[in-house]
Amino acid sequence: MSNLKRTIIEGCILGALSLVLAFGVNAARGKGHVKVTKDYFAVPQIAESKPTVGANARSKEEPAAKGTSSQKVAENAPKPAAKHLEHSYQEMTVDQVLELLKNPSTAKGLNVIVDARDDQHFQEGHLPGAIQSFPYEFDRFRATVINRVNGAEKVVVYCGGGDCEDSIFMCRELVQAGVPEESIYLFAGGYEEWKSRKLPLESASE
Amino acid sequence: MIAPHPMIVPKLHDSPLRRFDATGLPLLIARLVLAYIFITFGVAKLADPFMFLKMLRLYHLYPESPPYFMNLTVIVLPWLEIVTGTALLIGLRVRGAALIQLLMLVPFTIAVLRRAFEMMRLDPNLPFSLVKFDCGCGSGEEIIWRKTLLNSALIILAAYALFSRTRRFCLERFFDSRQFDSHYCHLCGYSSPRLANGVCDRCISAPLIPAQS
Repeated sequence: MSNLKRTIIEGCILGALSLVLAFGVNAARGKGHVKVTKDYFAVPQIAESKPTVGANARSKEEPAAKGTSSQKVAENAPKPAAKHLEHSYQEMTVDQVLELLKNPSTAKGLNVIVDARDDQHFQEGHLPGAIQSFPYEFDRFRATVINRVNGAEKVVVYCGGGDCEDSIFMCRELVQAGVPEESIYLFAGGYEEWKSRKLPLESASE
Repeated sequence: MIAPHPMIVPKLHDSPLRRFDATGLPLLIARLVLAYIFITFGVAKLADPFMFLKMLRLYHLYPESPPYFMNLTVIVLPWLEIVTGTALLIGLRVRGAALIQLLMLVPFTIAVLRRAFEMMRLDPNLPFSLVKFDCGCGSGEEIIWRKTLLNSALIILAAYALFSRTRRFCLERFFDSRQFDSHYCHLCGYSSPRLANGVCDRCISAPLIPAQS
C-alpha cells in the first residue's frame, strides 16, 4: 500500500473517531450543547415603522402616560455607542439603569435586569438584582427567566459592553419566548461601562 | 562468498539529515510540541464552545446563513484537535494526524493573516507589528505576528511529522510491524521500501546483524 493511501486512510480513521466523539459528547452535554441548525446570530430585520439603533423611541412615543422618572431621564439621555449589529430594541444608558434600580417598582419585581453573559462572568460580578440568561443556552435559563419577566414593566438586558452583541441576541430570545418587545430595553454600555463608573456590583457569593 | 540479497542495498553513506531523522528524536520533539498545543487549544475550545463560535464568526469564513457550517465546525474542530494531538502524543497514526493538523493549520493561518490585513485596511495607521486580537484558538488575545510565527513553526513541525520516515518512540511501530505490508523496520523503526524479514537495509548491514542470504 502506498504511503499516500495509507496516510489518507489514517486521516479518515482519525476524522471518523473525532466525528463520533464530537457528536456523542455534544449530544450528551447539557451545558455547552451546540445546536447544529440554530442560527445563534440571527437578528430580526428592522421594519420600516420601527425605530433604528439607539433611538429611545418608546420614551418619545408615550412620554407622559406612565410618567416614571426613568422615562423622563430617557428622553434627555445621550445616544449610546453604536453596536456591530443594527437592531430594533430600545436602549438605556447607565444613568437610566441606575435610576431604574432606585425605582421602588424594581424592588417589587416589576422591572427585571437580565445579564446575558456566561456563568463565569456572571459569578464574578453582575448588576445588583440581575438574573442570568446566556442567549446561546437559553433553554437552560428559560423557565427562571420567563417566570421573572412575565408581567414585568421593563426588562433591561445587558452583556459585557463594548463590542459584545450577546445582549441583542438575548433580546431576540426574549421576544421569541413571548415577552413583548415594548418592554425590552437594551443597556448597550453593559457591564464594562457599569464597572468603569464604579457603581455597585453583586457577585454570586453574595 | 554469500551474495547479498538483491533487494538489500546497504546505504552506508546516508545524509546527516537522514541519520538525524533516523534517531527518532526530532520526530519525538515535533510530536510532543504539536500534541501539547493541539490538546491544550482543543480542550479550551471544548470548554467554551460559544466563545469559539463568536470568534469564528469574526473571520467571515462561512456564510452566517445557513448556520450549519459554523455550528458543525464548533462541534467537530475541537475534537479533531484533541484526537490528532493524542494520536501524535502516543505515536499512533502519526502521518494521518499530521496531515489533518496541516489541513487545519494552513487555512487557519491564512484566515488570521486575512483578518489582520483587514484590520490594517480599516485603520491605515495600524502597523502589522501592533495588530492583535483574540484569534479564537483558545489562548486569548495575541499579537498577530507572533501568532503567525508560531503557526509557521507548527506547520513545519506537522509537515516534518508527515514526511519523517522513522517510527522510533511511536506506539504504532509495534502494531504496524505485525502488519503484512509494513514499511517499518522491526529493529530501528525506520521506514524503508526494502525490508527483508521485517529488517531494513541499514540494520541488516550493521556488524551485529549479519546479512542472510
